[in-house]
Amino acid sequence: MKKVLQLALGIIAAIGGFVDIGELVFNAQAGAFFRYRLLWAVVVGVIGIVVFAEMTGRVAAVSGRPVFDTVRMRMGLTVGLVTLIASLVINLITLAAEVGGVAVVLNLLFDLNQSTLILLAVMGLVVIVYFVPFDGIERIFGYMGCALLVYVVAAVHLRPEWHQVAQGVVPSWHPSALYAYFVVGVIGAALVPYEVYFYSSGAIEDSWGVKDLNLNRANAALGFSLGGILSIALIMVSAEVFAPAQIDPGFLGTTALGAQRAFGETGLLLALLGMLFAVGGAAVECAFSGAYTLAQFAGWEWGKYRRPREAPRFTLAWMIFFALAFVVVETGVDPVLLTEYAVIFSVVALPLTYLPVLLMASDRTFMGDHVNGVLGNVIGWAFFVVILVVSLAAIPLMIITQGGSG
Amino acid sequence: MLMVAGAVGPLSGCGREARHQVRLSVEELASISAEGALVADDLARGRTKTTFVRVHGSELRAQAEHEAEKLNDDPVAPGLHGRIQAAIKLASDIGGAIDDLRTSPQNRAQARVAQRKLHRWADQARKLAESV
Amino acid sequence: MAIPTGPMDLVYRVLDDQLVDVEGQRCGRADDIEFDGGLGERPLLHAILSGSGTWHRRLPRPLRSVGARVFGTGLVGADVIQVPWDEVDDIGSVIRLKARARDLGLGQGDRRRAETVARLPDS
Repeated sequence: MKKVLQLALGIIAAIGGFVDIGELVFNAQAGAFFRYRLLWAVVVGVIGIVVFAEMTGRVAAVSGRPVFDTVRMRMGLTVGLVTLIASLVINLITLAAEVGGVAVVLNLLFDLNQSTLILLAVMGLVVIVYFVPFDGIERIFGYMGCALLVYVVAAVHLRPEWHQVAQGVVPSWHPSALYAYFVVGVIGAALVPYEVYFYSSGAIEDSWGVKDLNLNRANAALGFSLGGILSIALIMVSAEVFAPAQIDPGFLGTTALGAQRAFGETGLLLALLGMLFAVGGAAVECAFSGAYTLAQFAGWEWGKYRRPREAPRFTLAWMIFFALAFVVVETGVDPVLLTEYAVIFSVVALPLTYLPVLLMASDRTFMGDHVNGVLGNVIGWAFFVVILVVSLAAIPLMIITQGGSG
Repeated sequence: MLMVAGAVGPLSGCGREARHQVRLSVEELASISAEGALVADDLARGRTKTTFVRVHGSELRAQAEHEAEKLNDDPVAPGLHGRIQAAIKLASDIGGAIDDLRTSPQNRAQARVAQRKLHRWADQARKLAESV
Repeated sequence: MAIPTGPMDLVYRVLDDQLVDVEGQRCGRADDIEFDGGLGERPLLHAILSGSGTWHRRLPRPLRSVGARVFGTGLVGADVIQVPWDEVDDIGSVIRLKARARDLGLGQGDRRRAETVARLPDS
C-alpha cells in the first residue's frame, strides 16, 4: 500500500499535465477530426515525457538539483533568464486557463454564477495548497483525478474498431497542415515544461535520494503512461461519439458528454469529478511551478516542506500567481483558447528546458555512477531532435491553421 | 496591366476567404445542432443531469448566436446572400430548440421532438456548408 | 565532498550555483566571482558575489542598461552581497557556507518577507 501511495507524485504530475483543460478539449478534437490517426503521436509524447521525467527525477535525487537549478547552471544567466521569463508567462497563462476550467466544471455541476465560481475556485485551491502538506496535495488531486478512468472504460464499452486503433498507434502521416498542427499539439501537450518543473521539485519535496531511483523510474513510467492511456481513451471516445456526428468539440462540456453517452448520468458525474481534480491539480502544478522556477533561479529558499515563514518569497510567489490568474480569467477570456496557446508556446520553450537536464544527466561529475548510459544518451538525444522539430514547427502551424480552426 | 492584376488578385482572394469563413460558420452550426441532438437524446432517455443540460445548453446556444452574428457581419460574397439568410434562420431555430431543452428539462417528450429537429437541422446545415 | 585541491573550473563548479548557509538555508546564488590583484600580479580569488545587482553585467551589451534598471545597479550591501571565499566550506551539489546567512548579509529578501508571511495563519 505504501508503495502505491508513493506513486502519487508521478500520477498528479501526469494527470495534471496530460489531461488539463486544454488536453480535455484538444484530445477530444483530435479524435473528432482524425479518429484514431493521432494515437501514435500520444505514444511518441508519452515515451518522450517518460524519458525526460525520469532524467529530471534522477538528477534531482542524485545531485539535489531540480530543473531550474540545472537551467541556471548549464545555460548561464542570459539564456536562463529568457527561459525563466518564457516559463513564467506560459505558467501564468496556463494557470489562468486551469482556474477558469475549474470554474467551468463547477458550473456544469452546480449551475451558479460564473464569476462567483471563479472566486470560489481560486479560494478553494489556495486554502487546500496552503494548509495541506505536499504529499496530501499529491494524493488528493492525483487519486481523485483518476475518476477520469471512466473514459478508459467508456472507450472499451463503445466497441471501437480495434484494428483501426492498432493502425492508429503505428506512426503514419496525413498530408494536411491541420493534421500536422494536431501532431505538434498532442506531442507538445505530453511534454509541457511545467510538469517536469513540478515533478523534479516534487522529488526534492518528497526527499528522494539515490535509494529512491527505482521509485523515480516507477513514477515516471507508470504515472505518465497512465496520463497517456487517459489521452488515448479521450481520443477514442471522441472518435466513437463525435466523429460520426461530425461534432467539433470546443467545450469542456462536450468532452463530458462523451462519458455521458457511454454511461449516462454516472458517466457524466465521474467525468466531471475527474475533470475537477485533474484540472485543479494542473492549476496547483502551474502555481507551484511558477514559484519553483522563480525561487530556484534567484536562489531563494523554497519548498512546501518548509513552513510558509521559512520560505516566504516562495509562498508569496505562488499566492501572487493565483491572484494574477484570477484577474486574467475574470476578464472573461475563454480558458480553452488560453490553454491551447499556452501548449503551443510551451513547445517553443521546451528545448531550453530539456537540453540542460540532458547535459546534467550525462555529467559524471554531478551524477557519479547514475549518469546516463549509452542507451539513455541515444534516446535522450533522439528526443532532443524530436523536440527541436516540434518546437520549430509549432508557431508556423498555428498561424497556417488559424489555431486549429481549419 | 500589372495594376489590374494586382487589384483583382486580392479581391478574388478576399472572396475566397469570405466564402471560407461562411463555410466554417455553417459547419460550426451543423456541429452545434448535432451536439444539441445528442444532449436532447440523453435528456429524453433520462440519462443526464439537469444542471448539465442548462449550463452546457447555454454554451451551445451562445455559440449558435455568435455564428449567426458572424454570418450577419461577414462581407457577403455575390451569390451567397440566400444561403447566408438560410444559415441565419437555421442558427435561430437551433438556438431556440436548445433553449427549450434548457427551460423545461423535465419534459422528455419535448426533448425527443427537439432531438429529431436538431438532427435534421444538422443535416441541413452540413448540406448548406457543402454548397458554399 | 570537500573543496577540490587541484585546478578547478570556476565557471563550471561555482558560477550560478546555489548558496546554502551553515543551517541549511538556501540563501542566494553565486551570481559572479571577484578577484583581487593588479596587472602583472597573481590574481587571488577574493569573493563570491550574490544578488540580482550583478546580473546586468552578464547580459548582452544592448540589454545592460535595461538590466541595471530592472535588477539593480550592483550596489554592494544592497543588491549585491560579497561572500568572502574564506567563508566557503564545501563545494558539492551546492556551495555550503561556514556562517549563517544573516551574518553574511545573505537572504535579506526572505527575512523581510518573512514578517509579512508570519501574519498568515499556521505559518
